[in-house]
Amino acid sequence: MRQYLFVLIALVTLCFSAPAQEKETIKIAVCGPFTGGGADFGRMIAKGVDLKVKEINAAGGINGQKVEWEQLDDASDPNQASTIAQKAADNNKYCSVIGHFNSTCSLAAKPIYRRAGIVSLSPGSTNVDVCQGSDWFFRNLYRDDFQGQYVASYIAKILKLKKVAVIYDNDDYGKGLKNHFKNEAKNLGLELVAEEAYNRDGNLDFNGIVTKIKSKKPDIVFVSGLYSEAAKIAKLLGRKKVKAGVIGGDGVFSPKFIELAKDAAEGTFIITPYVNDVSSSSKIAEFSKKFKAANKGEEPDAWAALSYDAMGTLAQVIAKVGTDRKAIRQGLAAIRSENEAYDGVTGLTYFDKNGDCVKPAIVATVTDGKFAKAKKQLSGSVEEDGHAGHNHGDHDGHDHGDHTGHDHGEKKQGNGLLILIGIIAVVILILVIKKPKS
Amino acid sequence: MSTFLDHLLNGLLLGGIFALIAVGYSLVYGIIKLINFAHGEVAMFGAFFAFFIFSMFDVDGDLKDHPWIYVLAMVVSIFVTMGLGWLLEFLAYRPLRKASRLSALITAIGASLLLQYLAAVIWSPSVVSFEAPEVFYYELFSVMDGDVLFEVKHLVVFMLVSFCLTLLWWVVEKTRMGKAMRACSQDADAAALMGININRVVAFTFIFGSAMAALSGVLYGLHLEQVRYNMGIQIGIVAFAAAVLGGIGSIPGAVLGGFVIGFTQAMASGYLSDLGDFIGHPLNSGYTEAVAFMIMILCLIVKPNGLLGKGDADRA
Repeated sequence: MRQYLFVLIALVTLCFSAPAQEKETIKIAVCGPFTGGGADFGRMIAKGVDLKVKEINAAGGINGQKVEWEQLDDASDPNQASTIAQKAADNNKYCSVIGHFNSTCSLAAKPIYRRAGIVSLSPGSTNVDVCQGSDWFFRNLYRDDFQGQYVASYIAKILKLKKVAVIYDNDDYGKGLKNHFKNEAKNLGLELVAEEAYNRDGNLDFNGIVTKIKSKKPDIVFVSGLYSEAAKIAKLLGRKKVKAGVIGGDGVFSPKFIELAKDAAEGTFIITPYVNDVSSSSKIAEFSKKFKAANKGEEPDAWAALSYDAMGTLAQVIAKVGTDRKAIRQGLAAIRSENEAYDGVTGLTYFDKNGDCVKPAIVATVTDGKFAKAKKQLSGSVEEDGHAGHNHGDHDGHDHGDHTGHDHGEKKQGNGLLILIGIIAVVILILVIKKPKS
Repeated sequence: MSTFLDHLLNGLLLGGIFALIAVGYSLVYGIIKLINFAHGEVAMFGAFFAFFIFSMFDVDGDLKDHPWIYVLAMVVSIFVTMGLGWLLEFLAYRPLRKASRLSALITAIGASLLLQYLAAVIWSPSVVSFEAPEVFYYELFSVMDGDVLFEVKHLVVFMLVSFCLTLLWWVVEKTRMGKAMRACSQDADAAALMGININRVVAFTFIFGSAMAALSGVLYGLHLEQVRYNMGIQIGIVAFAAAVLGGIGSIPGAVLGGFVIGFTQAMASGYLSDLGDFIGHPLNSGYTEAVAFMIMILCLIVKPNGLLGKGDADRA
């Protein structure tokens, strides 16, 4: 008994002495694709977060508490995303999450964070539905309805091209962006000459798709997917001597795209929330300088910048409300207008009632093996239009559009499916009848 | 028409690449009745060994102007991958030779994952560039007003594939080792009683299969101009399907299966959306793999032993 007492006393002393030594650190989980086809996004996210955390700690931490971040890998795979989301949610040491990157991963993780009550701030997911239906999911970049409209308007109004071929990734991001692009393209009178899909881990060979697109003679090819596939497509278009440019969504925006596509990347247009254009503001110049110093001269991309800002936004909220998970959510949700916004390198971060964010888009183009701001940007008025629509959420209008589109699709699907099922039934019937004889 | 020819050419090229891997599955299955799920990863390692040679020589970034580096990389990669294949057999499968077939199968899946993540740790957890040499894309001749290009790439792949398959045929049919392999596949115990060293035969099979997988991995990498650590799964599954389609255990069957799957994939990626328009259901090239596997299933319903498989009751 005395021994037990001794142990108990020792334990109690230990408990009381530990916090006295140093204030507890604030731990944040960073969930993203650190391996797999999207690993280069993850690499940049890690670097962006790390830079901000180091800055915060160098300045004495948040209210005297040091910040630590830990990376959890979802490998761009929704199954793995829900596993690590559960891990982050169950672990009480994390006060919030930065992530996920891929929209499909964010959608898989969203219900888990909502149930557990932990905030997740995504620096990369643009699918329209990502923040809807959950009070706990936020993002600090634009949505795909805005981006899709933007791509269509840029092709129609600035590039003044007519025939567009679309190649999209068969996941939530690629499909969503393609659908919003398609709706706007119809309104603007663009002609969609081909529409092909691929699965990131299934279709490795794009020769068939590009040959098909070649026969339709498009003016420009819109890739609604990620950089590694976009690089393959850009390269093959060159190899097969197709005279069409390439335009991509923000999923293509990674230095790895240029590394993979090499010369074929030249002249590609990419819509992105951020370009590392040091002449545009002193904030970007300063961030770029710090990032380069920390990473052997490597330039930051949009994801590094957005993650840097995501970490900054969280730090600002935590400084105000503390590390309670619920308080952090209230704090983030309270950032509702430009006056309260977090002013970062990617512009002002503030949220609407869903947790969506309003940010302008920029068109980047590849010149001499580097991303640069395209000379011709979509003019202010159009941008404002898109902006305004986005600002209001414009949900009713959009949902409406979606629904009608969907109904059409389903009607068509019904016919096609019937025929397909019919064919399969006939084949099986023939086989069943034939079987006993042989 | 020109589009069709282009798809056909691509299908033949893919078919050759798949066939080289599919025979590896069939060889191993024929002898020790093991489905070596790590075979796709062996091909992936072959590609990465070549990538390693590239990155050693590519100091000025003008790699693609030096075709001899590619030849060197291919040869080195084949030899190193042979070592890997032997090591895999020696460490993972030999201790389980007498265990149940299920244990060996699970080990194969484990080995596949191990090799995958090993490649991610050693080289890159992301996609790496695998640029083909300029000479690869020189035009040999073109038809249909230059719409269909027959390039050096096609010639190289066709020559290497046919050379490998001829070599395989010669080894299996004409050499002592081939005779031993055939004997083992008929009855391993009886072959051992006749004085055949089973371990040597199995090791040889793995080494030979790995050499062809390495070549195939390098060619596939050059065709895609990118390699990644998890491409082995995709190419492995497709090649496995090809081996099953042709009748697993049968070498001509694996070759035929490889070409059928390659051809189907190429056609599916080209014509699925037209088919979709025709039947009014939005289909597109995203379903390429599904079509390839559907063809496989349909063939197996009609011929359960595969296209060229022998009527063997004891199938996995």
